Amino acid sequence: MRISEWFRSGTPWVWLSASAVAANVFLVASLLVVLVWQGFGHFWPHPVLDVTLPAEGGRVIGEPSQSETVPVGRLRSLGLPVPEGRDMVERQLLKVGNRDLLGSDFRWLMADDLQGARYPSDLAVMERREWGNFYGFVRAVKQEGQVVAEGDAVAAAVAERLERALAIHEEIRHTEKDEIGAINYGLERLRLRGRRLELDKDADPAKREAIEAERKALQAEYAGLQQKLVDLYGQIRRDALLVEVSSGQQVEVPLQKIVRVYYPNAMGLSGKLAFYFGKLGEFVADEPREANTEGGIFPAIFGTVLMVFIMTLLVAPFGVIAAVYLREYAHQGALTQLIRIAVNNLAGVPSIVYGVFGLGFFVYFLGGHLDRIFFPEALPAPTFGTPGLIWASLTLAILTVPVVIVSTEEGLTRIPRMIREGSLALGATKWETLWRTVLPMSSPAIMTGLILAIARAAGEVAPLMLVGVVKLAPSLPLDGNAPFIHLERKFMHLGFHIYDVGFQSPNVEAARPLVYATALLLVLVILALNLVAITIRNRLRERFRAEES
Amino acid sequence: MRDEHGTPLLTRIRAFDGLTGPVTALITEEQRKGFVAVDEQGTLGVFHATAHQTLLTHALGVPPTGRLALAPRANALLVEDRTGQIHFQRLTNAHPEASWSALWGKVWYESYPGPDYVWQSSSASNDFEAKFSLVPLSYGTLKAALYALLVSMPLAILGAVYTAYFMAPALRQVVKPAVEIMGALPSVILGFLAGLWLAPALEKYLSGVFCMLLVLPLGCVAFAWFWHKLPKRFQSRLPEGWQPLVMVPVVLALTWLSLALNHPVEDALFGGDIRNWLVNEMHVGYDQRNAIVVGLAMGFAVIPTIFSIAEDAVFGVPKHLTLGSLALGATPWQTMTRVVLLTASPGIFSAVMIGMGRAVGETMIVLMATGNTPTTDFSPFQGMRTLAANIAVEMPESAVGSTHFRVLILAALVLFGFTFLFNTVAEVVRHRLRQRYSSL
Repeated sequence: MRISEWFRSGTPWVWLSASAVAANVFLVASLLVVLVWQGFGHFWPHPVLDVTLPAEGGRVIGEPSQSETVPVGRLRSLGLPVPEGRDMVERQLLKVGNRDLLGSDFRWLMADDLQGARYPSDLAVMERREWGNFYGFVRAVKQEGQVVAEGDAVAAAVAERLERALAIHEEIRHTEKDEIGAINYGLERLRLRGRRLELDKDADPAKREAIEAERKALQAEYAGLQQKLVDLYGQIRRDALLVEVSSGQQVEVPLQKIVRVYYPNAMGLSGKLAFYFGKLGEFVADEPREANTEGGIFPAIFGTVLMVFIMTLLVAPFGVIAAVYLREYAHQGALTQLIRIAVNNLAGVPSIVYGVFGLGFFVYFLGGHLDRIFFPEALPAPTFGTPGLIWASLTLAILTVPVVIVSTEEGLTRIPRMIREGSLALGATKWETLWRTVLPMSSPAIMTGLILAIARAAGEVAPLMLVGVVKLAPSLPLDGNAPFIHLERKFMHLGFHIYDVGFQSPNVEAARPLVYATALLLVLVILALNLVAITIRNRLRERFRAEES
Repeated sequence: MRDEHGTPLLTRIRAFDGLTGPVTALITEEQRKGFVAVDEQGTLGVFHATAHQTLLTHALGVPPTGRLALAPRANALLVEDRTGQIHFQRLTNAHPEASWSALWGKVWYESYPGPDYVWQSSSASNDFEAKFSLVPLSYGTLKAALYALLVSMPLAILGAVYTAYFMAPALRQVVKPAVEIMGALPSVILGFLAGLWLAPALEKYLSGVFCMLLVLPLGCVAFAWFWHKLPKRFQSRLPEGWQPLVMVPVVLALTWLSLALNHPVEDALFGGDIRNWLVNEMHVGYDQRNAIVVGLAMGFAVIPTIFSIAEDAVFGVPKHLTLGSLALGATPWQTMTRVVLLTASPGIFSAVMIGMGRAVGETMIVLMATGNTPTTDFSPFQGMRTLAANIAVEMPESAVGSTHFRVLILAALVLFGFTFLFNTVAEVVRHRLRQRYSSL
């Protein structure tokens, strides 16, 4: 066959469209690979190198993070010294940490300069609560200014004293956040009760005295805790490390600021694995540090789950009842048709428009009125008249209700006629038929709809930015203070966390690995939900195919 | 009023009507660009400069003198009449900034060289003139959507055609859910990858990506010819409808080839640095987060939508039509273009419309993958700001009940209007198509 004939037969175009399919699949796969690679790689302990630069005579200690090959011209235009006689040079980005000493976390070095790099096994990485990582050699451990360990004894002493400091830190956190937090919450409630009495023009002195007595008790408790805190702070300040940094200078690092000390160059495979899973655990279960760029994302996971859970509680009855009514009871006429078109159209409305609606209607209108009726004592500070958890859940509920309606309706239409008629012929009423046979049989379809709604809601960010998500919530919406669940509180969210840390953070470069990890977590959750939904849907189809035949 | 070569010129910019007699007194508002004037006959006029509108004319009933005083919040006015008596007037004028011409027309703003479309809702300075033109935002929205469609349409429609018509059923059962799962990926992830990973990568491999436009289709066709020339024994190993399996490594290799061509092409055609070349030779600025990045990322988000609906439409074409065409001696591709595509074209059209609706309303991707600069520039190397992204950026910090807040809600309404239009058209077309299929 000649080439012109081959073209006329159209075979190349078939191949071209086949490659379009291949390209689509390739796109999905490459996206997942990028996420998995960047997301899982972050927690692995990377070796830290120590190199003396020949040119400037300086010395650099740092963790290699990425390298690139760049045209010489681009570097020259940036005013950097470049080797002569080459078009392309390779350069390496090092995470040098010690931001309080060096000013910036990262530094580019030419690959040539890294020739003589060494990986000393006693080189330590210290994760700190502030200012990022600290790299250097721990030369001595000090207790109240006196050196207590030196040389080989340092590693053991550091481990032991760090454990003590962490325990004290945990106790301080518990006292400040849980105990004092509860007292503050109680005091605020008392203030509101007093204000309420004023507003109600209730001059009963007994009530006022009761409030006053409770306030005194809380304040006494607070004074006790305050004393305890002062003691704890005194204890945690005891130890410090003497660390030699890249410039040869010895710097004192207080142990109370350190979260973790490790020696990446000395770790074997098992040590690295243990470290990796330790970090992974911290990532999932801990609170964020340093403007969200370090530590964990637990509040974001918690906020997402709770918000989606409340949304499901709201959307499930509404969606299912609407679908049942539309399919089983409503007269199938122009009106129901119109409603169906409206529901379909609702599914296509941009999510940000739902956000605007939620802000205007739920937050300012509904919330504002609720405040005026039920919480006048707190005004002008809004209680429900400000973005919060309940409004976010409600907004997402109306955003996802079309998914549930469409899916449930589809499930109801798939139920064979004979099953309904059989049930009716046996004397069941319409309601009994619906409740005992039709709904149980369509439950997988309802489940599918709900799962898809959850998957959609978990990944939605744009409307939440208007109705209740914040970058850092001081407390979780669920805690030990009655009434335990605080629907009016603002919360953190995985998707917003990605946007905020990746784009609004002051130190994007340092935060990037964490964002990849968060993104990977979110994608895995959503993919898992979708796969479950697809599996249920396929099973359902198989089952009905079997029953119809 | 405008400077030209540094010399101040008096230029007529706006004329206001409403007052008939000569103006005897004029006073400007302290915080907004409004002013109040009184003419000889005692008619009071309230105006707004930026919005270019006469808000109120009111006969005071007293002959005024030249003195007026306006409350700092512009909600009350004192007028002195000839007898020296002072009259108090209450003014209710909450949102004078919004008018049709201020929202949609070209406006000559203060210290601008000429009339322009500008969105700039707030500034640090006190005597700031709020610029509420929705034109750059709507323009950005359509620009982003068009670039997204440019990327997604060929991939999604070609892919849908193949999946629905040529693909082996066993493979189709895997491919279709896989592409649909692609649609479930949260847009915040796509936006984040586009902004932090794709944008720098694209900047580095820009010429390579342009090569891809040429290399990928040509390479695929060339590979098909090569496959065609292979011995029959080898060809028959691949069952009909499994071609994509072979194409995945080919696409991978071609992508790699294009990116490897990046440096040679850049050196040969663009003098070693394509960004400098663009700026110096073509006089086009290059933003790192530009329309190409948005097109790719949002294209990725739209592909599943278009793919899924178009695939359904093509798959729904009655079998007897295609079988008849094949029986008359047409090749599969001829059947495809002359019979299947013609029948399914309304479905494909509605798929594109729904994809367009999705692209218009997409927020997070544009928010993260563009520089969010409101411009009216169609260059692929420049960013944009869309209606949706604008709402997400400005809504949380706008004062409740202010004109800005209301304009943002209006922007949401415009956005709703756009998507409502696309969705309704698509729904109607699809409905017609369903009826046609059932009658065939």
